[in-house]
Amino acid sequence: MVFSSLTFLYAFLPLNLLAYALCKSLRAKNICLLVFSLAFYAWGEPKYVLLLMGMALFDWYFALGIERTDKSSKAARKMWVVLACIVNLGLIGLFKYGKMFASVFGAPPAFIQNITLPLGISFYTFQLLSYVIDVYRGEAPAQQKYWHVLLFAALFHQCIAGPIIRYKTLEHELFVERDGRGEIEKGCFRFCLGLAKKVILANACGALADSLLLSESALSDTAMLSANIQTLSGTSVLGLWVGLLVSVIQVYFDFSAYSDMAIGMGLMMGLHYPENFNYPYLAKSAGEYWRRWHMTLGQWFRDYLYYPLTLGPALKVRKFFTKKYSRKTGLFMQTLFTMVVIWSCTGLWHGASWSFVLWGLYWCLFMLLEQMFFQRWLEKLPGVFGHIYLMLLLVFSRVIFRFGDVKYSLAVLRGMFGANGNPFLDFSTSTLLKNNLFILLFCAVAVTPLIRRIAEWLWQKASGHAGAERAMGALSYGVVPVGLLLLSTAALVGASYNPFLYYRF
Amino acid sequence: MDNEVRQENTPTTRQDKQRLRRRSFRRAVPFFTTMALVTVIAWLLPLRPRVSDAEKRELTAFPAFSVRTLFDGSYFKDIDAWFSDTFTFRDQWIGAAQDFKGLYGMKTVAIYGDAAVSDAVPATVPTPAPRPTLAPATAAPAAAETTAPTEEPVTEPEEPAEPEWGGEEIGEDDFVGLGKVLQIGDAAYKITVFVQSNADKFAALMGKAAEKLDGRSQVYCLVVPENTTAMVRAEDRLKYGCVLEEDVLAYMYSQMDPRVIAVDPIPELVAHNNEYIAFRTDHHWTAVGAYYAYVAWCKEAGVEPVPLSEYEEVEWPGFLGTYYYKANQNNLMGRNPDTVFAYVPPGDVHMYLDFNVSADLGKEYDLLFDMSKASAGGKYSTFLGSDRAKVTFVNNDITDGSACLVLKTSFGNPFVYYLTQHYQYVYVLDIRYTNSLSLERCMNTFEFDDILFVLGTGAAESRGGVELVDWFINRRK
Repeated sequence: MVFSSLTFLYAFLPLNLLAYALCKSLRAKNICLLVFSLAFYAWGEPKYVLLLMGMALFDWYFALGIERTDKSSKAARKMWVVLACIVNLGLIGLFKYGKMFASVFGAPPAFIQNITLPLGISFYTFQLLSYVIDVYRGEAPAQQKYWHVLLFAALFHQCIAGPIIRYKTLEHELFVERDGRGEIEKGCFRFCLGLAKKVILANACGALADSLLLSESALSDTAMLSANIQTLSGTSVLGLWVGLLVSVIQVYFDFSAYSDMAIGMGLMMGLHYPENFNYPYLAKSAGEYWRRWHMTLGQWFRDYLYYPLTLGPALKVRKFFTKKYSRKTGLFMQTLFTMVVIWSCTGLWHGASWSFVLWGLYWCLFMLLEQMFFQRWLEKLPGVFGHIYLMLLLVFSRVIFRFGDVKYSLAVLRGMFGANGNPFLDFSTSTLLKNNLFILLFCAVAVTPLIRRIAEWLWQKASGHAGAERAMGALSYGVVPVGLLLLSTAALVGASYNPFLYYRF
Repeated sequence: MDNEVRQENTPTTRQDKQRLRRRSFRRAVPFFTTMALVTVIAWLLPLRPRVSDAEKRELTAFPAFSVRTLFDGSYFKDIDAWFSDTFTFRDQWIGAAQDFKGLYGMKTVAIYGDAAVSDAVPATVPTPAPRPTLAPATAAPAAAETTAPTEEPVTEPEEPAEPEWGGEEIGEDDFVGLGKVLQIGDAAYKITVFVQSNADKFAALMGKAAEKLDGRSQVYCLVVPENTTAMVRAEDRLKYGCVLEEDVLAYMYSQMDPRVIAVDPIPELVAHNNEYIAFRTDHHWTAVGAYYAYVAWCKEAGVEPVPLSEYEEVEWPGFLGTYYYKANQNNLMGRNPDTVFAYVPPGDVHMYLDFNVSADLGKEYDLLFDMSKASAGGKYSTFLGSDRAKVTFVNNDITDGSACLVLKTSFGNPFVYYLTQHYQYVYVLDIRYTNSLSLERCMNTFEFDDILFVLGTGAAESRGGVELVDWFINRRK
């Protein structure tokens, strides 16, 4: 089930909210949440609900093992963490990367071929791993109750598409005291905003991108390879650039919409989830972009991979090269080693294919170049150059990300510079652009905080005037969310085009 | 952060918390009320539609339960599909969404689907071998009284005079859309394409049919162009990425065996494009369009066409065809639906439908089906009662035993009525529903003087369509 489905909006969510409201105690509310979360997961992946429950069971046990082991016996405690890593990474390795790694050695065996990717496995595996590691580090107590760990991992708000929440962040609100500051209306607003972002903006961008660059299903049809290459090669230069730009915008709306809806539903129930996006397309460099994009993933890699790497294997690399060459070389090699590992993992997290590794290394390359050269220049230049530079990076990264087959990527890359003999602009592209002109302009505004700033300014102006405050309240919590909900519903009825891009992770 | 919404100060007392909670809930009432109302409406199961008139399909049914579908997840996916596809007041929701989508871009432009890739049409191979002189088909009894029969056999079509243009005039401010479907104002047309390999194969198959029937029956081939060709100027079609079907037909016919009589209806259609020859909301031609193709056939067959005025006109207003759906139920079309005009042939003509292709006539039906209670999308079914495996017309006013076998797609449905004026028997087989049939079996089952293939360019140039014709002509039983 996805949040942007009518079944969720008009069957699952109303039932869930009603049942939740009827539960009085925190325990009852949590049992309600767990039952609905498992039902939500089972709706999409009935067989893999057992995998989710099994992984939660392992990690609950490993964390208890750590806590029950004497703090002085570091090796024994470490063994539990290593065990947790082996089990969690082993399972994600099998279910997500099995085919990819097995294909290195030829055709994968049938049982691996038949494995389908369990929904949200990348998200809940990282959450569960962070739980065990936090317990190991003494940053969180081990949870005594298995169903509590299961609830943390399976909570339907964020189980299948994030944000990736650390156990210690959520523990208090989830199991000790749920803050009742009364942010229900803000939750409703945020949920509707996310829903409309997905159903109206992301889907409109997606449909346009598919028209210009071919849809994912068309691209994945190997029998159509040559026909697809012919189509892409014939697409106009502007069509390819706009298609890629729109695809860039689509990904942001799609993913941030899911986070908005998760955060919104959390607020309705008094749960505060961390923000996952901070207007990433306002960034002026690759580094800044990744500090604003999917922030909970970045934080996870920083806390659980970057630090341990820097202080462990990367330090050895640094010492080796310092000893053999110079201190500067040692430092560079340490950074290079860490970055390559982290960005390869980031690429792999996004998808089980070598093109995703390439995509990760692409970002790694520019981060390194920025650290060594660009950053100083970018800081000195007017901001607009930084924005253009980032947009170019994003557009070219989409070429790698969107087209799995390198033949497609090359056809598109050539076409972007008119090297396929394709026209700069053709009737089809100009028609499509005119057709979507206003929604594209709106999308360009919506990736910036402009609308939010205007709303804040209006709230500020209304402040102290009872009538104006009431009008703003009615607008913000009545007209806008209700309008967005109804518009989204209309768009969803009978719509076949409704994919969630981040589902595959 | 994105859309950060916290504004209140952190409450300090229990009373503060309760006050804020109450206010918060009060503010959320519109959202919850709306959600609750739509939920109740969505679950009023008797109000859920089961059929979409506009889309001409049954909507997704609630899935049957099985352990296998439960565990592979398809059961729940099917419930999602059912819930969404049959949502209460579906058409109104879709209409509202279409109105909203109208705001996405400039109102003069819309795109529906992806335009297909097309081959370039090769230069026509000139001067096909001269056709043999034709023995005219049976003259129409009704026409014989009013029109003197032509003495000279027709060997060359008349040079058409430059016709007055009656098709689309596209102004700067007109609504124009492009994709698989081109929308001009409140009318939609197909972006015409050409696939040479299929066209070549089709032309060769016609030759094969002529070879098999050599000395026994005359093969006619009538490829029906898309409405685009008759209604949109060539320069506009080229601008929208269409292939010119005049060139396609000229090429295809030039590749055919000279024993095949190829009927080109385009000049007649273009000459009469100021009449109601093409539906605006559907891909078919109207019965009037089919009539002018019949006139073109008459020229080739050497017979006089029976004037349309001698037919009894029947009309079924409120028709919204396939393009209405392909254009996402566009309001311009929705507010101005088509009318299906049908023409009852004069004389003692009877129509028989049969679900099996046999020598039996089958059951007799009215010549036109009553569409007064039909859905908006179903009114074209007045002709032959939709697509049937076999329809037989018998004209008791003709007693010479003459017969024509027609292999057609749905474009042939309004066309075949006109043939009843020239043959005692007209056997109409739908090429898509006769996969148990072959030309050889037809030769053994029916006596026929002529065989006429009436297929749209979409069928004659598509792999599926050509495969069906191939199957029919080359199958040995």
